[in-house]
Amino acid sequence: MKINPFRNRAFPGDARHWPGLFTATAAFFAYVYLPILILIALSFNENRTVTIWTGFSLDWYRMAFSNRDIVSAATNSLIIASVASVSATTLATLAALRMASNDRFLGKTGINAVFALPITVPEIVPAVATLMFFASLGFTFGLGTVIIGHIVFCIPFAYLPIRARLEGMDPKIGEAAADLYANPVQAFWRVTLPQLVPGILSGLVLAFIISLDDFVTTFFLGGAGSTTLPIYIFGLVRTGVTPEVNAISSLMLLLSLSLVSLSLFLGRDQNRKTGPD
Amino acid sequence: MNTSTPSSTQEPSSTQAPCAVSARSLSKVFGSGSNAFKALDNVSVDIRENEFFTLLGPSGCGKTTLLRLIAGFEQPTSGEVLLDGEDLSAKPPYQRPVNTVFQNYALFPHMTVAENISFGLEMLGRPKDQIKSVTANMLRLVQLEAMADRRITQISGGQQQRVALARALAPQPKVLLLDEPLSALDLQLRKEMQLELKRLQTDTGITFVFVTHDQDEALTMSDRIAVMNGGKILQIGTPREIYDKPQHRFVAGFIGEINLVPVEAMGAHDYAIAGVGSLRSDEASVVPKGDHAVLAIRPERIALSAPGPGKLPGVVTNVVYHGTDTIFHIRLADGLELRARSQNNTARIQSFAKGDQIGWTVDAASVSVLADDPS
Repeated sequence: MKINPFRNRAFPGDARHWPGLFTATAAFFAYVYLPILILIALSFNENRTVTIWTGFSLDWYRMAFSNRDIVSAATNSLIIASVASVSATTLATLAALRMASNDRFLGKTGINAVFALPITVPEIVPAVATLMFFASLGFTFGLGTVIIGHIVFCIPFAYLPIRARLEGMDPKIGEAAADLYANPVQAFWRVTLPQLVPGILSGLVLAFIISLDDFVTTFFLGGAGSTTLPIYIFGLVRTGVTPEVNAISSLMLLLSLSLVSLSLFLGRDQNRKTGPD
Repeated sequence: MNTSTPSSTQEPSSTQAPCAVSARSLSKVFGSGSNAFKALDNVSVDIRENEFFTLLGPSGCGKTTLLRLIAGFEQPTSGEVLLDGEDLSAKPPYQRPVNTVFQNYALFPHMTVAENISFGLEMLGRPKDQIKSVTANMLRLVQLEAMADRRITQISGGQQQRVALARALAPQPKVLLLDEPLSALDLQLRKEMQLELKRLQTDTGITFVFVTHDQDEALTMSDRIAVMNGGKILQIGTPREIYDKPQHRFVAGFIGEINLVPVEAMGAHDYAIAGVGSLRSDEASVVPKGDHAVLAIRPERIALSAPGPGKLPGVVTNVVYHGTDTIFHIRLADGLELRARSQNNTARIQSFAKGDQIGWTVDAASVSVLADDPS
């Protein structure tokens, strides 16, 4: 006797039983990830020729670390990403806290939409606009201008996870804190902020990675001494790909993956109810 | 016997315990203009010290709004809340010596059980050793000593409920406010917690203001009940007064089952049921002779027997067996239907069947008289 008529039976509406599903999926993942895996593998190749594997070596990593230009580009990238992500996250946290309060004010829905807008606008548009704006103000292009540009596009990436975290919080918890004699300042530091930390860290990591990876804004707003890793790699590739580029790219990938894992780990839902509700 | 109107029962009496909380002409309007909603309409009530006081009513009756005004989460549109005779209006929630047990507990998920319980004491700036000993006492009181270092997410719903109680009791508030705290629990656990809450109230001597829509809960636990509807308090009294002597049609209908019989007043204590006969009530009439009134009679107070002199006539139209008792549906001569409940306290087969002519009587003390208003 069949308990569930859909079980053990292929029917056209169920995507699990589409023909060629496995092959298509495998092809998709190969298409996306195989080039990256090859790049990582070749970064350990002792041969200078990019396409022929001859043996394992860490030479290209050693060369990358002893190349002064690469080290300075990496330093720039880390400075820009750190300053931009911390600033953007601070601003995003303040904005999210205000937007999450359950009152209504004129333009609240509009403001909320505008926060997320930079994600959908083609990056080239604000990059060019900012370039012309800074030029008209007579700014000197360099680390400073790049950082300002990065803060702008990092804010929505920091804002969204923080806002999501706030939405998931029980609004009665603030009342509970006030009921238990916590004044608004104490309630914020002892109750709201600790619960918001996973969201803030997710936002911070996301903003950091987006900034680290950025090319367009950096390219337009940069100047002397503000070369970042993506800009430097772009320059190297134009003169021919060396295994050194593979090594730097692998390291950037490793850093990104570590940060994302960290953010997923910190952002995992600790508030899920286990008992009967 | 108390036949006074609801407003006069609210007058404080010098012979009773002093008031812990008083509401004075309290109103709360949400929204404005055409969207305005009057959640609380000129409510006055005195809640005595060491009392288990219940606000009972359907959802939207204003009971939670009244609780939130006492806690300070809402500001009254007019009127005032007094605590020990002192006006609380200017004080924010964190300066009011009252604590709340929230409906869904609102525990701090990033803290352990013990940290939740000690939070209020820490905010009050109590010395460390005192915080420690009070927290330990509270854990013992709610039988959660073994759970002290667990996270809130690692304990069951019933345990969370007890943490919420302990957290609110730890600062030893003058008044504990409970907002339907048992509604999230299953029936078994709810029955246990009802007794435990009552025990805690007796042990601590703290005034409890308990909000519920569950009449059983209200009757079992309360010293006094205020029945609310439409933003007003309709009647305040002991569970027995509320059940036996409802002064309002809504109160009669909301608590337990009741028969409402339209009658005409014949004298101070006698009422005529058109085409059936007359009934006597101990209560003095609320309407002048010749006017319409309504008699409220509990099904279990109606005695059934064979037809005879001194009994009112009726015909059994349905018999519903409930195990512990049997409900008889009885049609009176004019088509008006009554329900009578008879307890199955012997194994004898009940002696009435569908279609039987029967006689029924009600003790005059069990008949309440209500004004014939449509509410």
